[in-house]
Amino acid sequence: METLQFDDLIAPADIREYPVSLTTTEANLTGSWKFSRPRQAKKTAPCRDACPLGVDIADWLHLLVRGERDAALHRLRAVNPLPASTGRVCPQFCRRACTRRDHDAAVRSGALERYIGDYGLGVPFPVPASATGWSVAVIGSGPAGLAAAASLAAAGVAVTVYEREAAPGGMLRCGIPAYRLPKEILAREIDNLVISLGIQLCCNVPVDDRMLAELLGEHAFVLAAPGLGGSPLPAGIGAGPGVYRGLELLRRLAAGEVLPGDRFAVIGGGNAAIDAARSLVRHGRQATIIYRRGIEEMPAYPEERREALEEGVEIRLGTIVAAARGVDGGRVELDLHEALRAADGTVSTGSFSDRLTVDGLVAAIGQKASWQPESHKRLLTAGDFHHGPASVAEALAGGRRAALEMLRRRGMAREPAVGPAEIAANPAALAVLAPQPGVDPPRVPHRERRNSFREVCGPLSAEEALQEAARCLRCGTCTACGLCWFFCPDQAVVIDQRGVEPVVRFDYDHCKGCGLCAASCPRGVIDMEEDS
Amino acid sequence: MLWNVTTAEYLNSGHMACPGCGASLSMRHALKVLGEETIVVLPACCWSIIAGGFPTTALSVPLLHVPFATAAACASGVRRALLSRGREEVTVMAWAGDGGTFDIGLQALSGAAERREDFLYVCYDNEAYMNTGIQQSSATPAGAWTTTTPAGKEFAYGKKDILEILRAHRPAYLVTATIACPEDFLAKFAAARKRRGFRFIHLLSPCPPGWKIDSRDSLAVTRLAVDSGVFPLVEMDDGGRLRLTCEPAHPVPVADYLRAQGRFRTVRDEDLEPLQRRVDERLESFR
Repeated sequence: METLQFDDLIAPADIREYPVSLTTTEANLTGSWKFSRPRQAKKTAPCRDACPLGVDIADWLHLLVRGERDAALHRLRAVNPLPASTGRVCPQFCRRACTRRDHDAAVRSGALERYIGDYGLGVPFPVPASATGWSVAVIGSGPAGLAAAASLAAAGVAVTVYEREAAPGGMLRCGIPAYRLPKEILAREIDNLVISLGIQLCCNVPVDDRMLAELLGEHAFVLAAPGLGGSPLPAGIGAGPGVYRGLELLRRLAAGEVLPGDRFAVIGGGNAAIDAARSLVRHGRQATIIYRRGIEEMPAYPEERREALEEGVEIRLGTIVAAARGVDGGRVELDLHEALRAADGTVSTGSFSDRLTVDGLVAAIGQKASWQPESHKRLLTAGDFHHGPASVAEALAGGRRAALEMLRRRGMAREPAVGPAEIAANPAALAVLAPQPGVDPPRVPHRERRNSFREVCGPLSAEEALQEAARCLRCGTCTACGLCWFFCPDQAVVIDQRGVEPVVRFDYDHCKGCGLCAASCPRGVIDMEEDS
Repeated sequence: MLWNVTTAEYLNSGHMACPGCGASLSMRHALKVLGEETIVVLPACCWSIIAGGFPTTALSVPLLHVPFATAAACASGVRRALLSRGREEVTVMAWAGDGGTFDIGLQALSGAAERREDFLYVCYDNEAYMNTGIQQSSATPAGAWTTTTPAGKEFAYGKKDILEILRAHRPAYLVTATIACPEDFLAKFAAARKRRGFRFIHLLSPCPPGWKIDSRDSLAVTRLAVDSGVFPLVEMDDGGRLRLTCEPAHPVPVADYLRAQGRFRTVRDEDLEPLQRRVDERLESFR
């Protein structure tokens, strides 16, 4: 029988007077201990999930950080054709969902969108695909109409847009004051879009039922995105001198009209009410907003609300205008009543509280559709006309959806790109990183704001934009940041840098399944799954 | 790489630490900072097991197993042997648990500190004798369950203040740290490496089975110890005063730290208020 000799195991020179271990523990396959194993999974960033348009924000920001500014612009504009405008006016649902929000500050996606959008004002859209031979008529050149037109034109569809006003833009032009979105920026952005994509734009052309029938005859599809009509007057308030509707007031002020009187009351709590009040203040008028509920319940964006208060707009809460009468000198007398709050949250008129005499009363309380065309299977609708008053982002999303539906029906199936179903979120893992709050773009001080329609918010410089874009974690995408590698007690995380994009691999022979890698990943791309 | 951590590894995979162990992760990064020219002196503790059975070793630097009470005495000897052979550049690190530091090794520790021995003593404190089956040590905090304190450690005892004991010896370097706060941890090991004389680092080291927590939560729970002020990150300044190196980043009540762990389940709600006060007073004394 063959036996193993001591000398076969160890050379005499290595024999010590005391025991010495020279073999690595790597021989122990501690991976057999585990009950669960880490798995890397691509997920959707919470900002993208929150965006009505589903913009892959992390994706274009990453291109920007890598110095590919044109690629970033085109990637963004393929989904959102109006970034210079939305960067200024979008309520940024994305920022509310940002993983960094409670760690330091949410990535300033709006300011970055504005930065890249402003750069894009002079950069044409990519040359459209070859002509498809069919055409679409779009009614309304607001965000919904333009988004649809852009998507269709890029796919090679001949698009004609009809606008009843003298210039395109819809609510972006008529509803949003210049201190939030300068008219010149909007005009340049739309011009660039229309010209470089070859969209035919016909202004001063209102579309009625008779013309709609003609359009349906000429085009493969018609998209109705005309927006909504004027707001109704609240109960107890009749039309008369000194009584204005919110949008009408904004339009007349923007047209340079001088309205008589000093003191104005604005009824409503939405952005339209705030915009009306802030515009009046800029014309040297005193403005009081009268709203039925509490300040936190105002549908207006919090930032707008804060800026309005800074500029000297007065807000009366929990108050209802029960009646308004025209009195001597073209003034309007208002009966103010307390708003009674029922347990279910509804508000009704309570007892008389005050009388207010103003030179003008503005009702900014929501709009109603003013046109109801007969339905037709090749007539699609989008924007506020389709879903009621909503944000610019939602209007853009609706227009884009309608365009994709048309392409799909014509066999040019272009499903909107969506990310993986799972949303990445693990903000707790940021605790180990030092906060990097970044800088806010400059703002005009409120004293100066009160006298002009100059834009309130300034731009980010190129350097600031790059720094801000680099703050984006790219949630849902592994960036090989190394946190999982750092926190693995078993050296079972290997970052493979050989390829173009680094890859994280797991050494399942030694991974004990503790889950610290998953817990330490702020991008949420590591899941623990049961080990079979 | 992240925080300029070297990719060189001195801790091997396949070691015997439990999943989510803070002691193995702490050793991994301590050695990354201290480098190859390090000798580890190890008394009886969890790490005696983690290091692997003969003939294997979890470290690729020399590691000397020594009796329970003698970490500081043996580290003194290793240091003097190195000096006599002209190897001053080698770092000697005694690496002991709370049992080998607060209880059984306290005499040797005090002696080495008093003699101003030139080595680094690291206590990785998981707050009980964990590898023998979770028996309480004098580092076990008030209210904590162990197998020898089944109703929770008496509030009258609390945790021995090892920092004050060491501070009385006026060591060359005295800090607390935890791998759950990595930047502070790395900076303190880098500073300890550069100093000469007796250096002491007190690490809070999470133990998932002993603390009754999920292994994936071990670092998050340890961060709560820092954020609640239960384990302040401090450093002794030139005047001999202990001062915070990091304010709690996201302050939370002590209850958040205790309620995150199964070992504190016998702590009653009415016990929280005096505990909170004790923690607040201590934290304030470091400001």
